[in-house]
Amino acid sequence: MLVSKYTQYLSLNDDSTVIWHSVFGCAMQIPNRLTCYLKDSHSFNDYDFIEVFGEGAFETLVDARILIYSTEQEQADIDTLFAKHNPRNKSKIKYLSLIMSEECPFRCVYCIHFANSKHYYNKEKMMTFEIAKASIDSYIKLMLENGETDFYINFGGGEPLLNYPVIAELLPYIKECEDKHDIKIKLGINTNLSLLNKEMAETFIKNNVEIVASLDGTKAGNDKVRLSKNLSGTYDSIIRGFDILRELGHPLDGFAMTVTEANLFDVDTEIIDWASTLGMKEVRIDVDVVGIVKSPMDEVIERLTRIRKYAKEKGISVIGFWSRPAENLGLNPEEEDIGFCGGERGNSLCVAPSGQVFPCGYSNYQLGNYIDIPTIYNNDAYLNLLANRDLKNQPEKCQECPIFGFCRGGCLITKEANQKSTEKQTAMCKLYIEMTKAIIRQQVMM
Amino acid sequence: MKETAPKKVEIKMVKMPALAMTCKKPSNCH
Repeated sequence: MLVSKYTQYLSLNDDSTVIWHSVFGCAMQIPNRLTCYLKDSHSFNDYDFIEVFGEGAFETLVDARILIYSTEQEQADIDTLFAKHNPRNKSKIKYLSLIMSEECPFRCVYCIHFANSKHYYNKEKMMTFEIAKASIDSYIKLMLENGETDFYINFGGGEPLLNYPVIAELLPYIKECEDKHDIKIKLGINTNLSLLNKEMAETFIKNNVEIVASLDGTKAGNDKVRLSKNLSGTYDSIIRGFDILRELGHPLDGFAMTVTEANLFDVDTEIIDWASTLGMKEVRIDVDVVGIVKSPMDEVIERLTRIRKYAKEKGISVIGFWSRPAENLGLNPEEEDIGFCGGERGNSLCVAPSGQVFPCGYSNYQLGNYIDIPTIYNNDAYLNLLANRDLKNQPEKCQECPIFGFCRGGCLITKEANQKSTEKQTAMCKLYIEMTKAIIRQQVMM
Repeated sequence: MKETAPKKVEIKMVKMPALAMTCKKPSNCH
């Protein structure tokens, strides 16, 4: 009997430790005398273990793959995960995102659309009805052929409301598609709200389009990073949008914010108090996935951990990319396709106004063109995207990482935008690992 | 026979937070 090399240890106190397998997960709290045994024993006899710790503990640790019979078998089991969740000749597409506009009236300092997306420079700035319609048709056909039932179309950008007339034309068309195919399509729009008026809001409410908006903290913090084109603050224009939705009886139940070096020290629990007074349920706090290299990551981790705990006591979930590995740790990799995001998993198609298709709206990795959508899952570019997910193809530092199977290399854009420097990626690795540990500690205390 | 250590140990599963599948992010981030 062996202890898996993928076993991870997080000391809680003098009495206990949380352990998990860095590919198969299954976090559990064990007494420290068992921790010492696992750390000290290179190989041992089953009966000796059972004699000391009992049959129940033995079976639990075997089921969790902490105790293994051979490293070869363990590696073979890990290798089967990739084939199982990334089958050849079968579409994994689940989501369609339409980049309605490459332009935006905002110039947020951390914007990954402007920092990374080369398609922003294309001459085609606005999505046409024709390209959107053809993309929707192909997407629905692909989903139906694959037996998928959870349809999701997102209007994104840039700022999609710059192209509101085309969105308004697409909504009845999508309804027609739902009726024709007897399906239900979930809709969402990511907007900065600055252009939202009552008519648009009513249209979105009527068509069940979920509105997703961002606000980077209180006025002081927001107006340091979330800027208009003329570099003035945007807080008031965003709040005006919040107010329109609330007056129509559809207040937002949360929002997303981004932490950068400029607003880090403004991000604190008072934004949670504000969200709580408005009856919100979820606040997403992301750390700038491209910049924020120089700031002390320890400060970011301390703040996120503290805010998450504070919000939880007020009934508000605080999530972000940093919570994804911990969320994944609760899943069974044999049943679920564990990934960092839909783009990384190969679930998303994002169509730009030029017709180019990307796995993420901020990526430069082109999967094909919108006319390729019906067969895109067999394209070399798409297959390469999937091949990069194979755990055995990951660098050694990832294979030795405590969240190896749960982070999946992190954000595609972080890697694309920082190809010449490992500094940012190293900082993000630290964020994801330390936040996973912090979340485990908070979960144990619950 | 001399008992050197208790035979039973308690192992408690840690309940991790549910996968946040909300729309507080673009569709590709699900």
